[in-house]
Amino acid sequence: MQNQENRKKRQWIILAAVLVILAAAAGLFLTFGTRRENPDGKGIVLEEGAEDWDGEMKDMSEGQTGIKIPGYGEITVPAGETTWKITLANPEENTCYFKYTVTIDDSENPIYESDLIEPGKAVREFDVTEPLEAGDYEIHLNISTYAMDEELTPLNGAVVKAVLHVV
Amino acid sequence: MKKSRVLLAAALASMVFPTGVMAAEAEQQLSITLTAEPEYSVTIPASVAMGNEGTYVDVTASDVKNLPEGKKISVTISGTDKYNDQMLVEAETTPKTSLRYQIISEDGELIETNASTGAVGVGKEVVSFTGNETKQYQIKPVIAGRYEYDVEYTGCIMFGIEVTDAE
Repeated sequence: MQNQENRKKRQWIILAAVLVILAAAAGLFLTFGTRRENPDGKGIVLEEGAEDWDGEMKDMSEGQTGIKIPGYGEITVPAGETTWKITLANPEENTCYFKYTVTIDDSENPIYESDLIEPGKAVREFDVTEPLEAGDYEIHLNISTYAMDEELTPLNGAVVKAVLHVV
Repeated sequence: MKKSRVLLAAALASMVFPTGVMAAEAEQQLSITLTAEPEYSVTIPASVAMGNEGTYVDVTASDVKNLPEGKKISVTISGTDKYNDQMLVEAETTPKTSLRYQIISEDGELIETNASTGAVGVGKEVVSFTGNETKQYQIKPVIAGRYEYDVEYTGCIMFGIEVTDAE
């Protein structure tokens, strides 16, 4: 009789322990399992060097949700130097983050990658991984855009191409 | 009277010491640091969003400066967030379902990806601009295959933006 009671008690303890473990596992899954990492797996990393930027850009969207992408005709940078003065901006009308990845001609290796740039901010100069020799190139400013939510939901982006004169 | 005397003295002084003034001007150093700034902006839609019948989407060019004669700002499809740059929207259904979509450009060209016909969207022009203006393209889903109602189908487009020769 005593043995049977003990066995029942043990079964209740095991059941309670299993329930506690299941509840803890469910809690951990809800906290961490549904959270998406940012594209680099670094959490939200804002560009430290980004300055306030007011490019005097008019709003012609008439209320439609859109993303304003700055474009360039021709850009000139000095040959043999790694610091380039190019404004990489996120216009203040936008409600998303910008991340710039700069590539040259057909190369897939970026020579510069920014962190996330907030609306109304711009990187005014940046260091490239290697200097270029004098000549004309095609510069690709790949702009990935992300919603300003916890998941950093990807939005439509753009690749702005321009002529790069290295002199 | 007093004022005119002062002016006369100043004029005489400048005649007496003209070489000194010139020497000072010759020594003056000019220092200009230029930063490449955006020359136009293009507002693209934030995401691929449409109902059963599709929708018209605005794309706006603004702040256009120094666009040379015979040139235009061209907006093309540069890629999508789906495998092989397929023009698809996907939903988190079980199993995952997707829908193809088509874009009808400003010029009436049908842009789509289709494995059976070999049609690709990358490189196709959606709209173009020669100044500050708003253009539209049409986007519509291809309702076929396996899909579900009342769920959100999402996808992203990467637009190519550059200054090219106007035809």
